[in-house]
Amino acid sequence: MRIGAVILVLLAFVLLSFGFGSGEVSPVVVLRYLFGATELPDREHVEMVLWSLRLPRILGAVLVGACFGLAGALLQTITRNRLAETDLLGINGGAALGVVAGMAYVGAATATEHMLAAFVGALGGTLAVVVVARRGGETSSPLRLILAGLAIASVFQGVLGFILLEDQNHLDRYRFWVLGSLAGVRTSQLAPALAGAVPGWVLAVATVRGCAALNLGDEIAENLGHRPGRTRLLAVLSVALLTGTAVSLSGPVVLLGLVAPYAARHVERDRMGRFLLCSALFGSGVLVVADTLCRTIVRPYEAPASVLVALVGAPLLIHIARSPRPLAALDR
Amino acid sequence: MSDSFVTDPVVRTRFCSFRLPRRAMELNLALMAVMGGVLLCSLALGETRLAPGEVWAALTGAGEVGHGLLVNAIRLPRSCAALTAGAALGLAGALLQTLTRNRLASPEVLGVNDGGLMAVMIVVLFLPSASSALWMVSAGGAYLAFLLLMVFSRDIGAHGHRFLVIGIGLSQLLRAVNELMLSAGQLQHVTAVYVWSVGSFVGRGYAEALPVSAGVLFCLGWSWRLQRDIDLFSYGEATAAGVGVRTTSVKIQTVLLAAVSAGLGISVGGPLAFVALAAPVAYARLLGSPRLSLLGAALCGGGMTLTGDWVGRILLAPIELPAGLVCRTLGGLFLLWLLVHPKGRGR
Amino acid sequence: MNISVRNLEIHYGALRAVADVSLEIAPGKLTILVGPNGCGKSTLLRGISGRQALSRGEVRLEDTDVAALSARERARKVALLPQSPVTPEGVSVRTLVEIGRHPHQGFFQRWTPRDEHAVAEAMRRAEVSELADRRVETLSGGQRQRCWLAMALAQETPVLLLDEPTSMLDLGHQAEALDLARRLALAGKTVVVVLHDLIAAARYADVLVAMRDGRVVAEGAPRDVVTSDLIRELYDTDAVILSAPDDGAPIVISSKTPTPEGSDDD
Repeated sequence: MRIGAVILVLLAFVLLSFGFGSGEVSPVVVLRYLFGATELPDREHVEMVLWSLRLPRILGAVLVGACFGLAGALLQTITRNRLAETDLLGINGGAALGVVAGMAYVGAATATEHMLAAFVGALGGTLAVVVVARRGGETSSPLRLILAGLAIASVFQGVLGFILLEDQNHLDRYRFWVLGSLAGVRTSQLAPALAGAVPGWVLAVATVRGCAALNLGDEIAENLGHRPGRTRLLAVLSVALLTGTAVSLSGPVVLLGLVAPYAARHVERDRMGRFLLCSALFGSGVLVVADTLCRTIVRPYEAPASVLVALVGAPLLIHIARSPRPLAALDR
Repeated sequence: MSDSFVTDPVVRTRFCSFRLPRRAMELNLALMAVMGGVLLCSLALGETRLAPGEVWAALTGAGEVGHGLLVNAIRLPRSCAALTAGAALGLAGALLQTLTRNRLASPEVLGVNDGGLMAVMIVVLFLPSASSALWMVSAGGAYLAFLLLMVFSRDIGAHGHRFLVIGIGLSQLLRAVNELMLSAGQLQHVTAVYVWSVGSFVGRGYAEALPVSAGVLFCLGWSWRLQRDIDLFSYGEATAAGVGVRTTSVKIQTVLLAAVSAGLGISVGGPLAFVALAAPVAYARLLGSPRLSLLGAALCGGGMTLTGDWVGRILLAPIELPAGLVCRTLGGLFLLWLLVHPKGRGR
Repeated sequence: MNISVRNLEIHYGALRAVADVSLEIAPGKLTILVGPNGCGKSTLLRGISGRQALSRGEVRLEDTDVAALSARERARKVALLPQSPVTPEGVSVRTLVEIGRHPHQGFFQRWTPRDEHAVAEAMRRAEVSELADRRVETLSGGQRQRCWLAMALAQETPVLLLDEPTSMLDLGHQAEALDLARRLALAGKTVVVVLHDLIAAARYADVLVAMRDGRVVAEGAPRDVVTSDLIRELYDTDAVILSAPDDGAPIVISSKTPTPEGSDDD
């Protein structure tokens, strides 16, 4: 029931989003076009704006938001730590390093090349985290995952810093990429993005039962026949695929991975599958709203996505965290 | 992984009785020895190499004037600055992690670093005339961010997690605005700010080190009084309250101390990431026990920054790498090594 | 030390966990709180210990209001063993028991012979002495429960409140633990135990307090209080009450469906 409401709200946001943005096509015109008005001046222009500019962008926002939201929910579940997010665990750092290294040393320039670099970086970062977390003779306990992620994030940030300081141009290009933006998303990028995201979703679905058992503790999960170590591994791989895709499309929009699960928990706390879905939906919703604002508040310029997400998401997060509900479930 | 615990020797006099945490003391002494060694290296090696004898001569005022200047006026003050910054950050991280029972808790996660950076960026990009008092500006920014956090979370007596989550929200908001400013400014200003934001001790000396070390010693002293109470928080707030800890009061004091300490730390060399987070974790692994040791965390932190500063100077001499980047990279690798090779009863 | 509970009410938001409870708990007798799940017995215990805010009413130890005591004074008078305490990793059993001495330790006097003796005695009584140097997280559930019991004992308080101290213990250890509680009560302490096991409660209690839906429905010696009517009221199940051969304490035998004749044929 409640999920239905969330879906409806998301759809409403998406539709609203169609009405605004670049290309000088006003909401009124959009409405008239959608309702089949025949004597529209500049019909071709309207169509171009809607289908080639806004639609891919909105779809991109939905996709990226869902990926970040789902990734964040998975990470928080497997680390049993409500502060865990892709930024702290080195996955974003890997993507950023991939992009910057690609820009600096391999001469990556096109959007697709950036995508690939970010993707490779995110996967590499995740692989490193998993390898370290499993060494030392222990299975990847939540604490080890977190610490390994911290360590690798740190190493990546250090190396990234070196590259940026080496040449001012690197810093110059990085400081714009890091702001995150959906402005450049085109239809041609959506297909490869889906190719990366869909396996991630599939993996996430495969881990739903395992994750639900993880919440009860490793011992109980094992007694129920699950394998916590394997669940964590699959979940981390899913996170890598999702984050890599998302970052490659839009740059690092970090806060989504934290806000979406928090909001989702208020709607759907008990069932893991629905919680993950809710988290993805909230991620999409927040990003669609933020992206719409990006396009409209400083016309004709574009405000950067990460700032808007922070402006929308941070107050939401603070509001949720301050709510007087007995948040006993937060403390473990 | 052995399970045996060595019993600490008991000390009893007419006025007091306590147990010597022997392993922790041994480890602290070892850390101090290592830091002494790194300090010596940092004084001796750099763009100009000095022999140990020359260093000693410079310190006692007997050597060449040039060497004396290099050691006493440049390298020693800078090393001291690095040491105190790291100690302050390590202390702050240890306090927060023990209180919240969460290894991810550290001042940088709470927005203190971002607040400091924001204040500095505003000054550098829009009020360049005030650039001389940068360290005060950064401390001010850090404390303002912390104040904002207190206002938003209103009630520290609430669950530790609530406090941390709001801190993250705030820090991300500040970070986003910082990134926005980074993109808006002119490139040369941006580069300068970026170098500062990464953490560097170039040009730092006693002017920063002395007030900060006074502050750190004060914080250490105060938190030492509370140490046992704070440590009891690792058994959960309910148990701590059950054995007589005044939980609300201790929480407020601890958070305040952590904030003050962190602000001091970033005012010296910029918002060094990772040190506050990693120093307590590294110390716990070396010790093999998660018990809170304030001095240990401070020593670890100081050692990290000192090493970072020194390595940054010599690695690609004559180019200087910012200490913060070296700390992050080497610190991360060190933590990885600790994770992959558990020491005896470590975890 | 006498505990007086007067008109106690504890609310969790709209939920009334404890409703208008008045009790007098005397030292020298083992008092056991029983009742079905969710009846409020754990909440009542926490309210008595002063660790739970009261919505109405008061709790007095002798003549002192518990809420008026400082955290330290309260910890010296009342020890509460909670139901599922947090165990940090890397901690030895001895260390865990030692934290029970915290309310007695000053800044300068941190480890007196008194502390050592109390810890050793507590570990002996809870039968965890041979586990002293083991890490708590490597122990079984039952062993861990005894460690926390030892910690509560090390606090050396006149009032001992135990919330489900035997839920994970085997028969032998359960008998030991409840017997220990009884001996401590007889030695002069005020001991209140929350149990979900009515059978054990009926066996060991000197005073049995039965609760349902936040209210006290029966209070008194087990042989007076434990009847099939009470069991039906509390647990919605039928039972037969017998008398123990040694001291006449009630033994509760819950009825079960008789096996039908010839049901194993296949």
